[in-house]
Amino acid sequence: MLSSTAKSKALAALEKTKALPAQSVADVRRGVTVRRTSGGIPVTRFHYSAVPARDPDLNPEWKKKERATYTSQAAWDREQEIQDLAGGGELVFADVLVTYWNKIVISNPEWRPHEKWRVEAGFDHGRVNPTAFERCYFDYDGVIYFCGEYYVPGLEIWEHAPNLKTMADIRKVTVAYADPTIFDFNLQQSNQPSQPGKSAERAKSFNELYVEQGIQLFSPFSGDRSDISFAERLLMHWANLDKREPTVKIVCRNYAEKPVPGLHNWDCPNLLWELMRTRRTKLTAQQMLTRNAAEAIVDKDNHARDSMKYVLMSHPEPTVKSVKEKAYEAVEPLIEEGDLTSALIRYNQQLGANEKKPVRIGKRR
Amino acid sequence: MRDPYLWATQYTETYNPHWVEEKRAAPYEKFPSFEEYPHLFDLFELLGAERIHFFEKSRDLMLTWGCVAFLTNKAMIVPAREVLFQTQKSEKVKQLIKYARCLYDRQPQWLRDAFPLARHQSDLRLNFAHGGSVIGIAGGANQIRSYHPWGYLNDESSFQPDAGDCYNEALSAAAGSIIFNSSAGPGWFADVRHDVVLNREE
Repeated sequence: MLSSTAKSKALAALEKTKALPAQSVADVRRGVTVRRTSGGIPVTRFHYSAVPARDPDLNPEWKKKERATYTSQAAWDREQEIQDLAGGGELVFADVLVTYWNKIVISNPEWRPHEKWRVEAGFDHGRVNPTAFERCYFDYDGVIYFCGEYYVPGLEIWEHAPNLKTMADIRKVTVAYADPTIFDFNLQQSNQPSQPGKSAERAKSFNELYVEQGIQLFSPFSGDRSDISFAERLLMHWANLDKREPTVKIVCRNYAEKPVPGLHNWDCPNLLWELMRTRRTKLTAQQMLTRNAAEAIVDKDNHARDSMKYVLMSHPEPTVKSVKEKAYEAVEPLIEEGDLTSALIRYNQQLGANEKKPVRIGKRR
Repeated sequence: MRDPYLWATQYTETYNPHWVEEKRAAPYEKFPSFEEYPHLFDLFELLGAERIHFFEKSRDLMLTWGCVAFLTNKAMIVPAREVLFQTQKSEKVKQLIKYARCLYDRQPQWLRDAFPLARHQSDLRLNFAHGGSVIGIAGGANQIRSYHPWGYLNDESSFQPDAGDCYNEALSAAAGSIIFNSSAGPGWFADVRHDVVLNREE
């Protein structure tokens, strides 16, 4: 007969999870745990250690013997250790991100981009999938800062547009590169007039629908759209970080292990989440016999990543200082010394020196 | 018979096709005892406590047998109650119906007399004379729509491409127990268990 303690364990754990935050684990017994999803559904995990004869603490031989029958550690991890992603392809950015997190990710809550830095953006439209808009800044040395994102799934264009308009610095964005397919005129309800007396409908593009909603910002990205090239370029920005600073930085004060949909004016948690999960495709055992290791990148959770790709692969230049900014920098030491007369003279000289002269084309006189 | 755990462990038997290789005395055996497989007791206890369950598991823990036993018991003892099993392919779901039929057949005669089978049977159905059934269907959300079962078991959900849609269909189709049971693998079932599925509300 079962003891009353044994009887109460599972139900007690199930009850306990109701008071715990989502995904908090309650133990039932060795090898059996319960947690709840954010929707309140109980998730029970049955690990092989629940069976006393397989418990590594009681009988380590079983694991050794059983592990030997699996062809790879990944297969073992997936089938017996209940690791969903075991055996997937190599993570592309996670290693460098984790190792140099403090260099790549700006987490200082006070940090803001310089107001004079040029602002560009990348955009990836999705309907069921998230629509992602990543805003980034370029400093005078060419360092790229991803700082601000919009990442929302499931809305229509007329719902996205007002949200995008409220984004910080949206009016400073000089160009927003987008997937060229949103410019294709392929959205058509009918070629007949929608109402009698009106002209026939014509096909529209997603971009046109955004324009109708007041978002006249997107330019088709015409560069290299290969994910492999993008990965190589980004890894180049993050290479050799023991000896130098990264030239692509991501601002994020609210990183989470899952998507955080919404408008993040000065942070990019979803971009980081996608980059952390980015994997190369895994070849099957049969494919491995005939091909080299995979380099292709899994086409999943790549919305913010695509937006980043459009910006990065457009080969952006550093922000150029204006003539006045350069002139001010030249006279700054004189101002600090209090020599305002010399400062003014030097300032005017600098303005004159930087004045652009017309290029004469034609016969030399 | 109202206690599915008692029924499964005391009044019926499972079969083991590898009984020779595993040097067992016979192909038919009772469910392992509490001392051998304590988690099966937890399984039955949990199943009776709430309507929806997600199970993630290591291989060969007899979880599928346990879920089949729980739902078969419910279909057998309640007149006109239907339960639905769904797997990726119809060949696999036939196996689950075979599990259910084995559990029925290996009961004592007096229990089989108490809950007789209907005349017409098939590889995909175990029909009771009282009008209830255990029904097997292949993968695909649209497969569920024609049924209004009390219970629903989605087995190896990680390997069903539209498991998410099946879940949504099951919510409206099944009035009672909804069970998603699987070993690990990437996809909707992994995401939903770890709260990484996006929806409009989020």
